[in-house]
Amino acid sequence: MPERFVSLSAPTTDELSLLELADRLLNRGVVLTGEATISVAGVDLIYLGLNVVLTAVENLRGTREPAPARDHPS
Amino acid sequence: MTSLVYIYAVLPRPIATEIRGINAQPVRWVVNDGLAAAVSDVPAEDFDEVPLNEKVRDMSWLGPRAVAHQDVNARLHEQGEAIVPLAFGTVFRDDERVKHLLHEQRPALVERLEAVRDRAEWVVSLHLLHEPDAESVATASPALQALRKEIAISTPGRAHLLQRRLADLERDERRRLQAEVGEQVVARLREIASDVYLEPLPSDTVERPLVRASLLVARADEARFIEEVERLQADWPEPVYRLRLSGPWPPYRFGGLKADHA
Repeated sequence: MPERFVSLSAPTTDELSLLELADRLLNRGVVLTGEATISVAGVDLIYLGLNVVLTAVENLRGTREPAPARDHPS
Repeated sequence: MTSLVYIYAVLPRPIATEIRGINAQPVRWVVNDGLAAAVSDVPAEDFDEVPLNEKVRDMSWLGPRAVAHQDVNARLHEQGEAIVPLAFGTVFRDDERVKHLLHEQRPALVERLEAVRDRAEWVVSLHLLHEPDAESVATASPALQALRKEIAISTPGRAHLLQRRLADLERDERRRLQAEVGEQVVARLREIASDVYLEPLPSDTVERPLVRASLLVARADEARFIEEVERLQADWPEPVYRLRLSGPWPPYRFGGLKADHA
């Protein structure tokens, strides 16, 4: 049976949901890995001020290369 | 302490609701040009550009704030007919600049709001848990069957050579069949979804999915969509395949805007 995402509880109790959440919210800054660790790449996508980048499929579609994963926490 | 204005989402109009956002601050509305932004105040010491880009790497810091961001947007999504949820960390100096955004981006925002109205976002990924056994690969591959037949009627020397080709062919056919399964899963869901985005697959992960897609689905079609996912799992069952489904999400992937800044 597929898992249906229903609600988010405390982040520490459901790490995969948190990763999935970060994947949605940070867009391509985050990738999911089988080890349930997180890779934050291209965090400079998070902008401040008027030059805001709003998460958009159009942005992603304009980007041929998937963001490389880096910064694996040890 | 200086505070900044954190923006969660843009809606056509404010919703009368009491929600608390990041750091339990009340969510309020900034309205301009017939659009409403759901915002709350956040401390500059955490959310100014430099500290934010540092802190966002720390999951223990990000976790509760990301959950708060999502909780706000989930509430608005359930209550509002259309919502453009923004990415985590969209921060402005003050309300005036939020108003400026609503004015500047109004045509695009209105267009996006229409595109996601009465819809939610789902994420489907297909994982290969175990390589299928050689027999089921052969059953699905006419090329493998033909080569096996040829080996059966060949002289021992030739059969030995062909055996090596068989191993290569089997490996190639496994890859091809896996790619086909991914394509078929997406194709069947595409019939129900209003939009589909194939997520880039991480290259260095332990459990790399065969395919991962974000799908925009009308709320009215949700039951049908979930049933189709269940049928797909039945068609490509465990222990070889596993489908993961998550949603309904506010339309983060489909709700954004084009980046128009330099």
